[in-house]
Amino acid sequence: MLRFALARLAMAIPTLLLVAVTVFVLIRLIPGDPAAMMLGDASDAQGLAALRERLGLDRSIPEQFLIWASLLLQGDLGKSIVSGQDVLPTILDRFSVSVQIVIPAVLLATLVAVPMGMFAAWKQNSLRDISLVSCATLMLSIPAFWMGMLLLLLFGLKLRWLPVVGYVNFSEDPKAAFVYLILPVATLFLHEVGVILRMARASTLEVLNLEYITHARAKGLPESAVMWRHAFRNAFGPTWTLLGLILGNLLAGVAIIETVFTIPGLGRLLVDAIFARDYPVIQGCLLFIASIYILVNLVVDLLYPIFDPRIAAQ
Amino acid sequence: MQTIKQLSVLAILLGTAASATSSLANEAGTLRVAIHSDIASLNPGVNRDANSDMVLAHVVEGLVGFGDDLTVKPMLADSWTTNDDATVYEFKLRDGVKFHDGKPLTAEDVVWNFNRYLEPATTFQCVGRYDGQVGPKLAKIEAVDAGTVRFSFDAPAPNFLITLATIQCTPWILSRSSVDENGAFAKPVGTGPFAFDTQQSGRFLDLVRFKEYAALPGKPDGYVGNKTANLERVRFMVVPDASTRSNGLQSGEIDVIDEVEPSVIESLRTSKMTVDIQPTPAWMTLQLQTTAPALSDPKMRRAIAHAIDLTQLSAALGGGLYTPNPSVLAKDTYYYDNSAAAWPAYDVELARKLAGEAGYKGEEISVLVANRQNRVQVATIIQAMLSQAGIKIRLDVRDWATQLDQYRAGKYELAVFAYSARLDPLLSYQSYIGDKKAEPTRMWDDARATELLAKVSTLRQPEERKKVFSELNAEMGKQVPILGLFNIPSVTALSPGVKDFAGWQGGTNRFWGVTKVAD
Repeated sequence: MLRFALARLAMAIPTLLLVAVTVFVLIRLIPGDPAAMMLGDASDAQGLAALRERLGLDRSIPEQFLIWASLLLQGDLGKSIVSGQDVLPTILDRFSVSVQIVIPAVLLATLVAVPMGMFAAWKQNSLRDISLVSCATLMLSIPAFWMGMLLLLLFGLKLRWLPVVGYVNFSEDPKAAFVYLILPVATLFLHEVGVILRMARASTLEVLNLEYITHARAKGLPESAVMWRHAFRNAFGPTWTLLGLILGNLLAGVAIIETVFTIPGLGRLLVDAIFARDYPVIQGCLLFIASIYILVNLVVDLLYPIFDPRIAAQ
Repeated sequence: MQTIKQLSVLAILLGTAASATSSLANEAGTLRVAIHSDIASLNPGVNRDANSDMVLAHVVEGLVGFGDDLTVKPMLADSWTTNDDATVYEFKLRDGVKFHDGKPLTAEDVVWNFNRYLEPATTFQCVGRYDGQVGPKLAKIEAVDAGTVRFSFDAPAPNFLITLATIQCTPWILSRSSVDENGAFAKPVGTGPFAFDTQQSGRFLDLVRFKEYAALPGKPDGYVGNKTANLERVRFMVVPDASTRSNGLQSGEIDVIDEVEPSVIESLRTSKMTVDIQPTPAWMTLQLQTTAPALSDPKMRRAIAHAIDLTQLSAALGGGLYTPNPSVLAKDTYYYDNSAAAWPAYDVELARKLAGEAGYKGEEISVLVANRQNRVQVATIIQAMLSQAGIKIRLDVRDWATQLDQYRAGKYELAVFAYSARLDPLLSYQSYIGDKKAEPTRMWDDARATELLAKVSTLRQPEERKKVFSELNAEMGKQVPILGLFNIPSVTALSPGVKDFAGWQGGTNRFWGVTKVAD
């Protein structure tokens, strides 16, 4: 197990190196100049040249890359061109905010969707199955930003139960922080529950048709034992893999939800940095996101044998 | 029974949530102002945008500033004198002015500030206006005594006061404690009615009332006058989404939003919000790149101007909010003298004729435009209007960073571009006239224009300046290196509890003098 984990981590190094080089080059190939963005319409060529020099943008791209790479090897992602703040602490700060939305939403969605998906599979083609599948399809079809706006209008503007704007950190005021997270978590939950439910249903259906389930039933086991003891562990495997992908994707930032709910998460940091051509922040964010993807999927793979012992044997 | 229990739990939970929400929404004495993006920096004149200009104006002050009538008036200066050829200015500083760190304002502080702004390492955006690149060079700054500062130029500088007051370029006077021991900027410590308190990236920036603020007598007046703060705290909240800003205002979680879209003004008014609409000289334009082969002939540029119905364009954008204006000189300002009449009037047939005379044979001309809803709307209407005159247009929709990059390089044919409010026409003409080879952002590279600009730069009397500005306007109307579309108003919506707010032509919102009562 340890060897497997270390081998996977070692394999991640060339991936991250490739990401670093690709991101560094690509972001400089697209038009736009961070210095020009900072100056707007109120400066001239000399002012622009002076600012480019101060920011080190007048150096050649290989030279800029070497400076960035040498800092990176020291664990330093550089400073934001726009704000002057260190990139790594900024990313970690924003990531901690995204985590507060993503983890509860995905956890809740899993706890609700997996049993429901299994139930729908167990009651295949019944009215309850059709109702659940229809709801799931509807949920995943509604764009998350629109769902968020609907929830804001209903619970924020009409009923005035929940806040419309802002974010409070748990360290400042846990009660307020909880209140402010209800709507974004609910939005993400409603979106992801549909995806997970459909996967759980499909994989359960596949398992329920296998011979060992028929055998369990023939032994006279009650349906609950058949479902939870025999069907669940095999059916949950594909859903677990999907959860890894969903988590990796969402932890990379849910920019639209963060924008609609005014949450200072990683997604918004990245989008703002792209619009401002804040190269160090873009590079840092994308490298961090790639690392998160790799780590989350490694954890998912390492935990897979808990649900499917055949994987460990292999 | 179980369902009733579950519903009760949900109701209790949401009840708790509602009470927490309302306690957050009612922070007494705090004005909550929505801003579109984070304040990147509060280092004056270095990394600035409209948001940072607005915040800084509450914290720091200049020697002079623009009043509501767009004349330059004293702020930290009590008075000034100048010699006959306007090469030497002496400012007497106001007594009793203190920085937020408790130190008194002295002439030495002013000298330190100007030396810092002129230092290349500071990268002050407007250093060119003081080091001889644009206009005369500021040769010497000296403290005559503790309350008097003298500025000496190498040539007459009749417009020095205007340069000092320019919102985008004001050399704000900071306390020396604004920089750290290495001279690096730390935070703005000024003399303004509010002091910088705290900033949380991506969330908010707080200013608190400066209790020892030395207010001028009288009423608020532009960026000068009585700037007494009535609020204990102003919180600038980062709310990037327009609909969230509007919802937040209506739910009582935000007190002020700006850049309100015309489409939501009526619904906000119906919800008992106050909507303040203030005309400003900010200018939406169609830039015509005179070096582009398709547009090098003035006849072709005039044809384009004749083909665009500015009145219809402004009306189509909504709500009678926009004032059509082809001229640099904004309506309702002293220097406007029926200036629009000097520009090509809407005449499709004449447009066709002129285009033909210019040798136009139906080639496609591109319009560069940023992917912002209202600007794409403007470009689309222009495309339709020009097609009526037989001029084929292709929209080139890019993100703002790309448009700015191409603007800086002069690489476009036509472009929809908005200029922030310049409160004196000289500042505008200085932005447009010049050598395109040296400065590709200049729109009008013409000997006569350069001559007139040089002439007006030496004038001090408004009536003399008005004559030259009118000449410049008439000449610009003939050559059409840029076509004004409309002046952009400042539209601000306020919750019913916000009182005594007034917009002004500067366009940047001011919250001194503003009070907030419980809704």
